[in-house]
Amino acid sequence: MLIIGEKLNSTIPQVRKAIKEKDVAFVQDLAKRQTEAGADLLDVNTAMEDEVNDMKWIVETIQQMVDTPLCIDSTNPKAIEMGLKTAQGRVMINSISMEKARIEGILPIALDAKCELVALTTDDSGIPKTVDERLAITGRLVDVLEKNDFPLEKLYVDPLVLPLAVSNDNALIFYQSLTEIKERYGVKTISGLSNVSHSLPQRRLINRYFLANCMNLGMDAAILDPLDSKIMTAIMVTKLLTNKDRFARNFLKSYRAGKLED
Amino acid sequence: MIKSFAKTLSDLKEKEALEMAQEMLESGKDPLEILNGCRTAMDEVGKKFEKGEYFIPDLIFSGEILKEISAIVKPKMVEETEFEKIGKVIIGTVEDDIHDIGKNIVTFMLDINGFEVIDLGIDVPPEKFVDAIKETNAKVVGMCGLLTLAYDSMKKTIEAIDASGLRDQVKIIIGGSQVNEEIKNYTGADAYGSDAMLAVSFAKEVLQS
Repeated sequence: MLIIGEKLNSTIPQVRKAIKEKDVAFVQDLAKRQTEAGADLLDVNTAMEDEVNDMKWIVETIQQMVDTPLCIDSTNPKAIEMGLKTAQGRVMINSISMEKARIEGILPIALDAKCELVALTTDDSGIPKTVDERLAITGRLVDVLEKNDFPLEKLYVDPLVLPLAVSNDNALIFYQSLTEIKERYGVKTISGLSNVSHSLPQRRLINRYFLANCMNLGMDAAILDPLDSKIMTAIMVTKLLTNKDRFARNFLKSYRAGKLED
Repeated sequence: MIKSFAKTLSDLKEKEALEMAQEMLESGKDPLEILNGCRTAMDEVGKKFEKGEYFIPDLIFSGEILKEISAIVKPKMVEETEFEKIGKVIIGTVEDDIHDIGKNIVTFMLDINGFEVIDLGIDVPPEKFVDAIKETNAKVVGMCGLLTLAYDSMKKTIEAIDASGLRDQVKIIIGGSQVNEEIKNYTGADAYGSDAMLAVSFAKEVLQS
């Protein structure tokens, strides 16, 4: 499972401040620490200030420090374009959906770049409440991408989990959507996790178990905080439990290094 | 009895609360009094939510118990003594926004707290708010929006209400996780609220004063 580090996001007040003040050391440190903690990609979002110019700055700043691939996170086509243009090497777009503005603005960029791509199962009528609606939107997304020769193996569909606090079955709806999307369309899946615990206490605890459940169903990527050693331990243990850690190499290595957080 | 019933209900003891309601009905207690006890309990639930002791699933559960109690109490009521609603509240997610989770929770909380809620749905254009105020004479309007775009729609909607000469007859509260004093001032609303209970206490303040 791909781990996408979520920390370089301007909705986090400290990060927003660092972007505004062009604090090179802060950004590079956060990029470095996430990479060392095991992030395969780093999500970057600069939406809160001068988005397009900040995107250029942050991509350059990060890549002076680490060569971890970047996940360019924006709803603004110009910011995505700037991110792709500036970034060296492998890159991911986060995200398109079936919303008109994203289809018109971001889809053409993704088709041109043919890079890895996150797609949300939402359209102009909002986040769907049922499994069937999520499947239908995925079908429409896959259709559009296929018709335009987009390599579907680079697509990561996010079936958008809704808060459990609002309805008991929201996590279950996500699991079913995840399974069906993989079976029916053969594409990869991804989740941002944290929405599941919205409005509940002890959110990290819920997120952790949710992630373990999703991994068991074969989820291919997750956007999370790699500096949270408890969630990283949960990933390690879930891999061990699902035969994704041959001879328990990684688990035992982490154990010996004292990295497993009980 | 009513007092301990209200306490049992606000402690979310489903089975006990239902049994107590049943018992009170059988012993000839006025159904209206029981429903008043429910209202006291819902007040308490709201307070616990505001204090961070209760969470959204607690609120929803309290509503479920309330529905079950109403189902056994209402058939015993004489028609004329229909439980009086506190007042009407119009609610909707403003134009160009489609987020409805928060709006639905607010609607639900207003409903179980004794308000008649006119829910206009999502992506509601300004005229629809204006028409609803004219038709229902509601004194409270709630506007919901999560997107930055929504703040312009709120402003536009409030301007439309003003232009129709209805601004003085309604109090307007805006809601959504990002709203604050600055956004309230920008839109011209009377209040803002970032959780459902604030909407309920605002409506109570307006309609019971």
